Amino acid sequence: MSYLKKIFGNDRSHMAILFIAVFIYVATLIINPDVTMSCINSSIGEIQKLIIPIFAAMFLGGLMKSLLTPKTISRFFGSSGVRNVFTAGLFGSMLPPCPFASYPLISAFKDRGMTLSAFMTMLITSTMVEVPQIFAGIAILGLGIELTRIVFAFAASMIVGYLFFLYGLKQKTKLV
Amino acid sequence: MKRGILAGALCGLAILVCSWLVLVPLRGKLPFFLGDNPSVHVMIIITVFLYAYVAIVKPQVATKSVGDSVKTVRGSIIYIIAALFVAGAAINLLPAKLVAEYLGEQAGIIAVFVGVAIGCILPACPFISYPIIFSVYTIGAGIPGILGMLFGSGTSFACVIACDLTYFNSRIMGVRLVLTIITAMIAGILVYSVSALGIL
Repeated sequence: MSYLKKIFGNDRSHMAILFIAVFIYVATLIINPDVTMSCINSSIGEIQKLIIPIFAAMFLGGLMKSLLTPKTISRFFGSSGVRNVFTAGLFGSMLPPCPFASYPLISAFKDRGMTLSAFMTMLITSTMVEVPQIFAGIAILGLGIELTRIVFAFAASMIVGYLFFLYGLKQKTKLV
Repeated sequence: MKRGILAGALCGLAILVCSWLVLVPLRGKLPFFLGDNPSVHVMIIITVFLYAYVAIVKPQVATKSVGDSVKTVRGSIIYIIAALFVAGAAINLLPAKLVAEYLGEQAGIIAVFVGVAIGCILPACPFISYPIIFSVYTIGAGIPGILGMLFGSGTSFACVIACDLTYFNSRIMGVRLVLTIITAMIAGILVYSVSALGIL
């Protein structure tokens, strides 16, 4: 039972993908078995092409997680107190993509008195820019698409962060 | 200290030499299971030599990183394989004409909005969502549509919303959702504008 738990984890939202995959294949098997076979062949082709790069990306991500601690990041970017939107955006971009890992850090910064606009910018960039995803992006989509994603997501986050900075100060007491 | 500098210099040199090998003389000649993208080959080389360097300089960090990575692999491998099977099915089942109509270059700015809307319901984990997005790209989606999906991916996913509510409150969740979707739209429009100029 614990072995199954290790494989499947506790995240029910990820299980949706598993159910969708099973559902698609069972449905196509009933409706058109030939299509199922071509789907399986395409999938095996994808797995053969991507599984080693995905493993490499996960191991590189694991190493980066150990080397780039929040302390290291804050030493580079400076993150405490009232700082500008840009610094918060940079810091948020470097946080781990998983909200279970990044949100406690963001919450800690908020509790230390970070401004609302910086807090929101950090939340946006941690959800949108996600620099640590770069390895997954390179492994699956290629360098060009991944770099374009990061550059434009960061630029848009800065625009929205700055607009929120202009608007958000009045809302501080209502939100935080 | 001297051992660290020497190991760093040797690993740096090895990364440069091996990267040159896969980018120039070995390009296109590597086994299929290493993928067909040269930037991926460089990433694999960097991974191997960074681990070698850390194993020499800080063995405990290398051990911890391997442990963390194995835990990640073990916890998500079943979903990655499921996602790759969904991607394989998408390649065969999604009508290329329909994808081109809504996400292709000819869809114009609509592709960005459709891409963001689809991306919003995809999982936040890139190892699960990216293969599905890539499969849509291979059947005819354009760059603005694909990047729209990437910008939107995970923004409205259940675990992110659960964390919004756990660590903050429903108001912050609402504002965060609205702002991230607006940000994804702006990023998509920027990509569309740049690609319309022929730069991308």
